[in-house]
Amino acid sequence: MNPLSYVFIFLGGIIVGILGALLGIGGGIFFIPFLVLIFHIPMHQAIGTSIVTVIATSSAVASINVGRGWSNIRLGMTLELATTIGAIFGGVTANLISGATLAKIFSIIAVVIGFLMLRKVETHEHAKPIREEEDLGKLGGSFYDAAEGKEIRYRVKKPGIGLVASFIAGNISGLLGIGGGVIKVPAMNLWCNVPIKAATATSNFMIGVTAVASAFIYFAAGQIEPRITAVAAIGVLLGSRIGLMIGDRLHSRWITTVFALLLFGLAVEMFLR
Amino acid sequence: MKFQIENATPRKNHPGSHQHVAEKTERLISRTLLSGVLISSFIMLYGLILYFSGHTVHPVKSQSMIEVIVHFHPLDSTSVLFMGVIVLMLTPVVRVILAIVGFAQEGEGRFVLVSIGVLLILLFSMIFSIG
Repeated sequence: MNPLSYVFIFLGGIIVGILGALLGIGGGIFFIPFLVLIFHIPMHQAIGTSIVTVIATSSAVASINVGRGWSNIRLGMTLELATTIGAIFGGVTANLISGATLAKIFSIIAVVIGFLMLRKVETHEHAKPIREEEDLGKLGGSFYDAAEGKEIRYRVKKPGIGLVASFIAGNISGLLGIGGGVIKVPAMNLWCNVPIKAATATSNFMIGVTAVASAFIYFAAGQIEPRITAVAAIGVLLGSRIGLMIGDRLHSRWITTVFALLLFGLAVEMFLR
Repeated sequence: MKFQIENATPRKNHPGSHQHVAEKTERLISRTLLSGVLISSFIMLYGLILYFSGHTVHPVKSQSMIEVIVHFHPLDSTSVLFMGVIVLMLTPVVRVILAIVGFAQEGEGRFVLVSIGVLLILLFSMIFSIG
């Protein structure tokens, strides 16, 4: 690969990082088609690269969220039991099937994620907070919501469904090198009664550990090309930092819709490849 | 690049309640994650500088994590870049270990077991991949 390609991958990483922060998704779903379609990097290697960038961004963002007290560490650790097992299955499966098949699976998941992105616009603050004197249960949590100016306390419902959703999210993460927050966040919010801020922070907290479970497999299989991975990881980290700075000002339905449509286009390209 | 840990938001921890893992543990986890990301980024950056200045002794080939660590060569771009990736991959593992210690200090046996479970799964993946 010529040196200029590394520059473009670096720039691509920055854009993906910004996108990820703005859209509230990991960005891997855009990064993999970018590596495969433009640079003709083999599918498995693109996934290996992506999974390492996922560890980097998730750790960086989780560091901020945990410091703020938004991540529910008890719930996160419990659900990680399921995401990590799912991720190992996903990683092993990915290394047993061909790149062409993986690309087709990727397309299908990308379409599903595109629809979830469009739907996400309509997701409300769904969870039911509880009063100060009530018990939070074993997994419940609380955090200070600056926007509302008060402490939000919540109890976790249906942890079983949370575990199943986490297993599926981990499985897809290991199989395709994406974070899987797009599955966990709505599941925690809609079914487990976790407020959206805590659900997002907890999902992000879990993603690093989930990604590592399959990253070991990609590493041992020689699917992590160190130079591509290094430029990509540094690019995505820089990008997500920039994205967080411009972040909250750009929450518009319009951006999400445009990128959901872009994702549909990429899915078609990946499928026909 | 600067990831600031914001601690400006006020937090109310009710005495006797256990809705938050002790703030001390949260802060330690937060700092560990940030340090891991920064250290690995600098190692990778250094590796890229070595690569672009022609300091590549070993070609890129598939190696196990143990091989990379045992045969570490500080002036070889391949070796340094792999090391950066390994530091990044070990960051979440350290985070799980800190959670075990944190829960143990608070006497929360159930979550100590949960966290040990997660650590064992990660170790399984690591060892299974090497073998």
